[in-house]
Amino acid sequence: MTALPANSILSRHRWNAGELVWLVCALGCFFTFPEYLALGTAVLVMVLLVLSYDLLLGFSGVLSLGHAVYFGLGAFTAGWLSLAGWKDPVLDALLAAAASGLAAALLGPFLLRLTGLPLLMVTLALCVLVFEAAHLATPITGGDDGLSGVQFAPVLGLFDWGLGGRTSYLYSLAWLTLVYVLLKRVVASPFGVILQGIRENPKRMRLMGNRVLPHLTISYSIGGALAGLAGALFTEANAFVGLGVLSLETSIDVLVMLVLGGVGTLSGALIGAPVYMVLKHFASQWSPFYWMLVIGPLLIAVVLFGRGGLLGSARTIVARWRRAQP
Amino acid sequence: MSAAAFIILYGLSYGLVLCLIALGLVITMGLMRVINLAHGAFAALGGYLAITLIQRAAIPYAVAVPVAVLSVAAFGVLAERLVYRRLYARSQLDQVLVTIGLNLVAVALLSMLFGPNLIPLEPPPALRGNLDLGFREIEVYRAFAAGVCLAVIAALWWVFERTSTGARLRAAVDNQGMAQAMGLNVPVLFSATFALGCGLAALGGILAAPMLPMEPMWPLKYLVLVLVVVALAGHARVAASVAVAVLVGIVETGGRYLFPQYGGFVIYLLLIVLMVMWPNGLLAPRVERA
Amino acid sequence: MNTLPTLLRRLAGVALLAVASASHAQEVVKVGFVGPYTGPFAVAGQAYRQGVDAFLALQGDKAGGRKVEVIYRDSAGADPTLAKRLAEELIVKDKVTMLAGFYLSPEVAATAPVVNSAKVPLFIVNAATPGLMKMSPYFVRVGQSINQPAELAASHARQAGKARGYVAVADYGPGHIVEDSFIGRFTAEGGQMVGNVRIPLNTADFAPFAERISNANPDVLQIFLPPGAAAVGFSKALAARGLTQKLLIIGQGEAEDGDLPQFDDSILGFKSILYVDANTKTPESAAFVGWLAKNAGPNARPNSFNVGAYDTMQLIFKVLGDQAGKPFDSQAAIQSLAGYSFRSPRGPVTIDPSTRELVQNFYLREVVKADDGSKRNKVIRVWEQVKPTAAK
Repeated sequence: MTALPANSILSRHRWNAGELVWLVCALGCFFTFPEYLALGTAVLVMVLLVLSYDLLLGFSGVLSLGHAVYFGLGAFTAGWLSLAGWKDPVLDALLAAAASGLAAALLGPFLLRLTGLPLLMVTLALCVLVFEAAHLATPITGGDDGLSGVQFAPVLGLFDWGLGGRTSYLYSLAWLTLVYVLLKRVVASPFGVILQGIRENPKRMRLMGNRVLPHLTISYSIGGALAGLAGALFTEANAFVGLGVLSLETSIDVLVMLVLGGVGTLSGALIGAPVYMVLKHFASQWSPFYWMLVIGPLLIAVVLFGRGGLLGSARTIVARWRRAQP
Repeated sequence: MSAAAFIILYGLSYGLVLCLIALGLVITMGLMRVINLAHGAFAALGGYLAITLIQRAAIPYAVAVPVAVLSVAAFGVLAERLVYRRLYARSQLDQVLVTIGLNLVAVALLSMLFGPNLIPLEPPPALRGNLDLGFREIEVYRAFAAGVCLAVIAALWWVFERTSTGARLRAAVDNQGMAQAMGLNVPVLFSATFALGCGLAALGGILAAPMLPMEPMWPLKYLVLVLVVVALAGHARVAASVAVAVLVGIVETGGRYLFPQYGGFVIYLLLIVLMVMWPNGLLAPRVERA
Repeated sequence: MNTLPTLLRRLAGVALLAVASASHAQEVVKVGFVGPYTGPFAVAGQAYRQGVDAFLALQGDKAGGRKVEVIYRDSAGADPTLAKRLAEELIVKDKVTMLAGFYLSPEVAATAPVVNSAKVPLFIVNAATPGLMKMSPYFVRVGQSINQPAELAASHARQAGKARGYVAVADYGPGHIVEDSFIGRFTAEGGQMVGNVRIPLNTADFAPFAERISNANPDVLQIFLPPGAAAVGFSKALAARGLTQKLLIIGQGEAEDGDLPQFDDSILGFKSILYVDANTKTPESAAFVGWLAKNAGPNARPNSFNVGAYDTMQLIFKVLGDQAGKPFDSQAAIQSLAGYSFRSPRGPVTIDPSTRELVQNFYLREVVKADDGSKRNKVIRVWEQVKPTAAK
C-alpha cells in the first residue's frame, strides 16, 4: 500500500507543533495559575463545546443556533444521574454524551433538510422552545433554582473534587485531549472528507452519489454527543446545573468563540474559547459594558478583515512576514 | 366572544407595529440579501432619539417623530456605506456574525449613554385614554399606532406595486446585473433602500415605545419576534409581510391570553412547523428558478 | 570594637522588621461582594455599591483594628455557576474572609457547597427563597423571605373585606412561592380565589394578562414581578384596562421610590408590602438619605438593595469588632450574630437565632403624589417586628 503524501487531507490526523504547544501550556497552567483553576476548567469545558460545534459548522457547513440544546441535555442528564445515585463521573459523562447524541440523531433528519436562514431560524426556535420547556418543567430541572445537591464520586475512585478546581481541571483536560485526538481522526478520514465536500457544494456531492442527509445526520449526532459530554463535565465541575446551559445566549457564545478562533480548523476552538472567556472574565471586572464594547468590534474586525479568525489572521501575518524576509 | 374580539383587536395592533419594524428588514433582505440582525438596534435608536428630543429638548411629539425617523435613516446610510457594503458578497454566516457584533456595540453604547434603566415614552395627551368601540374599549394609542402603520404600509405597497420607482426596485431585486446594465444606479438604490429600511424600523420602534419600553437590551429582546416575521414572510413582498405579521401578532396575543404559561411556546412551535414545511416562506409569490 | 555598631545595626534592623510586621498585623480584611453590576439587574448591583459606599463613608473603613476592603465581582445576574465560580475565586485567590451580595436564589444555592467547604460567612442581600437558609449554616440573610409579604398582603386584603382574590406573578421561582403563600393565607382566612396566572419572563405585551384578570372580576390582586421593564409594562396594562381604580392591587418591590419616575400617573394608588420605607425619618435613615442625595444622583432613594448592602456592612463590622486582635473564626461570627439587634436605616431589626434571618418591620406603602408633583411611597400600615417563618 503506497504511503500517503505528506500534505494529504487524510494524513491531517497527526498533531502539529502548535497543538502540542497548546497542550503543554494547558498543563503548565495547572502549576502556574493554581488560583484560577475554576476559570480554567470552565475554559476547557467551553473548548470542548466549541470543538463539537466546529465539526458542525466548520466541517459540515451546518449553521445552527441550537447547539446549547445538546450541551444542556448532557448537563442535566449528568445531574439527574447523580441525584438518582449513579455518581461515577466517567460513567455519567459517557451516558450524558450518549443521550445527547441520540437526541441529535433523532432531530437531525428533520432539521438538516434546511439550510441558510431557515435553518438558522428553526434551530433558534428550537433552542428557545427547549429552554422554555425546561423552565416550565420545574420538578425535573429545578426551574430557575436549578439542580443543587449534585455530587460526584472521586474520579477513578482516587481524586476527590474539592475547592479550587484542581481535580476538575485535569479531569477536563484529559477528556479534552481524548476528544481532540478522536476528532482529528474523524475529520481526516474519508467520512470527514465527504463532510467537507458537502460543506462546499452539496449538489455536486449528490451528483457524485453521496447521500447528503445521512452524512450530515451522523456528523450532527457526533457533534451533539460531544456537546453532551461537555455539558456533563460542566455539571461535574460545578456540582450544579441551571437553565443557563440551555439558553440562546450559550448558543450564540459558542458561535462567536468559534469564529474568533477560526472556523474549520479544529485548532481554532483551542484559541477562540480561551480568548473569549478570559476577556469576558477580566473585562467585566473593569467596568460595566466594556466587555461588549471589546467583543463587538473584535468580532466585526475578525470577520471583516481577518480571514479565518484569530488563528487565520495570525497565519496570514506570519506568512506575510516570511515573504517579506529576504 | 369578547375573548375573540380582544385577541383580534390587540393582536392586530401588535402585529401591525411588529410589521412596520419587520418590513424594513424584509425590504433590505429582499433587495440586498443581507441578514441584518442589528435591525432592532435601528428601531431602538429611533425610540431613544424620539425620547431624547421630546423629554430633554421639549420638542412636541408630532415634530420629534419625523425628525428622529429621518435622523436614523441618515445614520443608516452611513452604516451602509461603512459596514454593510462589505457584507453583500459575504456568506450568510459572516453577515450574521458582523451584525451580532454591531448589536453588542449598540447595546453597550445605549447603556453607557442612557443608563441601564428603562425609559418610557409617554404618548402625547391627545392620544391617551380609551376609545369606546361599543362592544369593548381599546386604548386610543393602540388605534393610532395601528392606523399609522396601515397608512405607511399602504403607501409602501402603492410605491412598490404601482410606481416606476417601485418597478425599478423590484427589477433590481430580481436581477441585479441586468438592472445595472439597464442604467439603474444600484449602489445609490441600495443606500436609499437601506435608509428606508432603517427609517421604517425607527418609526416602528417609536410607535412601539409606549407599549414596549426602551431599554439598552431592546435590540436583542425583540429581535427574535421580528426575525420570526421575516423568516415566515420569506422574500415575499409587502402584502405577504403584513399578513404574516398580523398572524404572528394574533398568535402571540391569543397564545398568551388563552394559555398564559405556554403562550410563549406557541409562536416558536408555529415557526418550526411552518419553516420545515415551507422553507421559502409562507407566501412566496416568486418561485426562484433553480 | 566594630562589632558593637554592627550589632546595634542588626538589632535596629530586627526591631524595625518587628515593628513593620506588627503594623502589617493591622491587616486588611477582604470582603467579596458578588452582584449583578451589569446585565438586566444592573440597577440592583448599582444599589449594592451605593449601600457599601455609604457605610464606608459614614462609618469609616476600620473595624476591630483591621482595614476592610471590599472586592466587587460581577455576576451579571445571568448564570448561577458564574456566581459560584466568582465566589470560589474570591476565596481561593483573593482570600476573602466573608462573602456578601448575590441577587438570584440559584446563585446562592450554587455557592452553598463552596461556602460550606471553605467555612466562610455569606450575607445574602436579596435572594429570597425560603429554602436557601437550610443549605448552609454560614448563610445570614438581611433581606426577606419571599413568602412574608405575600402572607401579610393576604391577611390585609381579608381584613379590608376583600373576598375574591387573584394572583399574577412572574413565572419563576420567587413568583411561584408568592403565589402559593398568598393563595394559602387568603383561603385559610376565608377568602375565595377566582384565578391565578403566571406571566412568562420574556413577555413584551401585557395586555392579554390584564384582559384575563379583568374577565375574572376579582376585588384584590396580588402581583409579583421583577422591577424594571416587566413591572412598568404590566402596571400600564392594568391601568389601561381600568383595573388600577377598580381593584386593591398589592405588589412588593415593583415600584420603589427610585423607580417611580419611570411610571406615569397610572401608578398612583398602587400598594406594596416590603420591609423598606424610603421616607422614614430616623437618625440612621437621615444620614443614609443624606449621603445618597449627595453622591448617588437625584433619583436615588433607599431601597431593599442599598439598605441591604448597608446593613450587611454593619454586620460585617460588628463581627470584626467582636473578634478584634484574634484570627477570624467564622463559626464564632455566626454565633455572635444570633439574636443581635441593631438600628438599620429601615428601622429596628434583630437577627433571629433559629433561622439567621431578620426580624423586622414590614410596611404597607401606597404611591401618592407629593406636594411638589413627584410621586412617592407613603406608609399606610406597619407590621412591627415580623418573625420569619421557619423554612419548610
